[in-house]
Amino acid sequence: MKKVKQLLQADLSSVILPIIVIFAILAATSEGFLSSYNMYSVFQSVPIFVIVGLAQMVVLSLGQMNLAVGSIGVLSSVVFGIAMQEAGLPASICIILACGAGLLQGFLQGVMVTKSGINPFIISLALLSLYKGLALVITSGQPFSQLSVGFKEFGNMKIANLFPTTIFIAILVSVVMYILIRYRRLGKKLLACGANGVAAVYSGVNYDKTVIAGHCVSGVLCAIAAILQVSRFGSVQLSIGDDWMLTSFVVPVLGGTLLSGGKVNVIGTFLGGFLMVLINNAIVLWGVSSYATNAAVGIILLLAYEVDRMRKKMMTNQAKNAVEREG
Amino acid sequence: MKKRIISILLSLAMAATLVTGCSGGKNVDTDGSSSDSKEPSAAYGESVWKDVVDYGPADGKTDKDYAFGGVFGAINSYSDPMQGAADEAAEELGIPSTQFDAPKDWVQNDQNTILDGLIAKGLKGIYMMTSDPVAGNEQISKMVGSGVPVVCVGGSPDTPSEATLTLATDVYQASYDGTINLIEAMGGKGGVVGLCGAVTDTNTQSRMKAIEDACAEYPDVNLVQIIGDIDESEASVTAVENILAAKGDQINGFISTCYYPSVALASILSEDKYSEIHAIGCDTDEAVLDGIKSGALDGTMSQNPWGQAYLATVTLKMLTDGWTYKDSEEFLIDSGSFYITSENVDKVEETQKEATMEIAKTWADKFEAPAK
Repeated sequence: MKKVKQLLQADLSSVILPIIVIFAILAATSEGFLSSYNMYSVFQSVPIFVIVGLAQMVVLSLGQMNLAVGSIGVLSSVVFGIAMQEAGLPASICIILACGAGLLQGFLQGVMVTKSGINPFIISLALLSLYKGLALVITSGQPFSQLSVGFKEFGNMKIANLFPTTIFIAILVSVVMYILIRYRRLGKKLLACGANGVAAVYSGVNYDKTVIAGHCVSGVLCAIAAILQVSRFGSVQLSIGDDWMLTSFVVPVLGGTLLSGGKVNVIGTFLGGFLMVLINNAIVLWGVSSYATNAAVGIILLLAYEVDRMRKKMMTNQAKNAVEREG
Repeated sequence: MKKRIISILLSLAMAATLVTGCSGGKNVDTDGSSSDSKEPSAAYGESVWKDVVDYGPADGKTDKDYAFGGVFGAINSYSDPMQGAADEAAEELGIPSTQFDAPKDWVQNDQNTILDGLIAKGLKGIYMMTSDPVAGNEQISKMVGSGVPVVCVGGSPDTPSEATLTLATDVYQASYDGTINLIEAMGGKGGVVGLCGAVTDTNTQSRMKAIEDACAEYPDVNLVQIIGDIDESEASVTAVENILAAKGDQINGFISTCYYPSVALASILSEDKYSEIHAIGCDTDEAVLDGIKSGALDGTMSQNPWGQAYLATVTLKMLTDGWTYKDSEEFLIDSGSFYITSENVDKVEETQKEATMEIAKTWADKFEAPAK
């Protein structure tokens, strides 16, 4: 029992172990699992899951949630599409503009959360609809498919016939996020505000500024995920982000991020993304009907939430014990 | 510390397995040295493929090379007849039964996951409708690039595409014909309402255009409104009820180009107070056919999913045997659409099969035969 507790407390072990177990079972039971085609496909899906997970993780660190991850992504991708197809700008400028759009949307969300006094949940729900609606109005439902050839090729480029180039973008983004959370002042402020907002304010943290900054980072990450999605699809689709919301919560929570805020795990989120892709792959390889996919994802989310709850309880107990010992 | 070391060691072991497992670089084993010779079945003898397409695996190939499957764009009643049709073709041609799957929603990412998984499982040919006509093209290129031929059904991907061909309804023509049928039922005059699906779908835009064009041909017909984005159960019922409440006195007929609004029409127009309003539905779901039988709908425009899957499976077999699709042939082949009324409502499948067999008679002419 003690071992199980220790395992649950160790965030990375609790995500690495399922990965190893599922990986081993798939390798043993599905002959095509280890094929280069399948492995490439798995790695191709990981970056989106990871970056969307990181986008939600940043907001979760504040003890809030961002329901508009998909809508921020799609509106940013529309900006990208307009810049590339209509204005004919080079890819690097288009990427900056799309990230800028994500930043702006995150900023608006942060400002509304801190200044309006409306529940953050309601604000992000409203913005989910607003951003998606804007994307539809701007495009009239039309995709952008006249993108630069080099950019399209980038999304489907293979390294060693196994790794898509986008996986390295996901690794780079994860490294940046790791440094931000672990070594930069903003990361500490985010965690402080998420753990206890009042205490953070009394410690001299500007709560509003930190929340706005957190939403801005989340917006930029949504834009990066959308750009990667566009490079994979080779076009800007209005369906981009439609399937992100559930994933964005499951991935960080599986990786050890607390829904209640104050504790995040970047490496865990990366591995959580990999685990989710592996589970999706397993569902197909094991021949699970598509009708059962929703149920499977729901069960995973419930399990992730239960692990989250147990971790939180154990952390509280540990803190209590430490105080008692010192007392 | 100990736990970390164990984690790292396990990760390294996994990575080593991965590298070893992937070193072959191919999808699945394809030991195709021997050919499974089979005696042609009675079904083959009676089919149009007799003496045209070889029965069973070609020389040097095995049953594994003929593992085909279909993946539709989303779970949808339209695709219900597909697997049965594909299996009928497989049985006639002496190849293994097919697989069928679809993502729960029209999300390209989800469809990609299914397609990649099926290919990893060993599928060697795919017939599919992309969840998204533009975004799906990259996935088609990826599959074709890895040696898996793709035939599209249900709707065309954006062109140019690396799929061999597309078997689909000419959506413009079907919607145009449906609207003309409606106007004729209305006596050539009155107000028309069009009901359509996702406005982000390029096919929806063609359908809307077809409704507008058909209405414009009749001077006494007024296109009251086209309502889009209502291919959902609740949204379609609300839209039909609202338009009837707001503009009921101007409406003489509805043309639906998607599933849920057709079902909504079948239900709402069954009320006596709407007996003067005419309606044409879309597809041949049970609820729509019941609506025709009850008189709520004048008819429905049936497509041919049965024929699409049947001919797609035959095409995959031919491509695997070495046939090649002629460059001179069209990429998009109209699989036909039929006007189903109370007179032929009980013969939907027969109608589809008859039309398919008509196309099948000259199907091989579109291909170059393999060198013997």
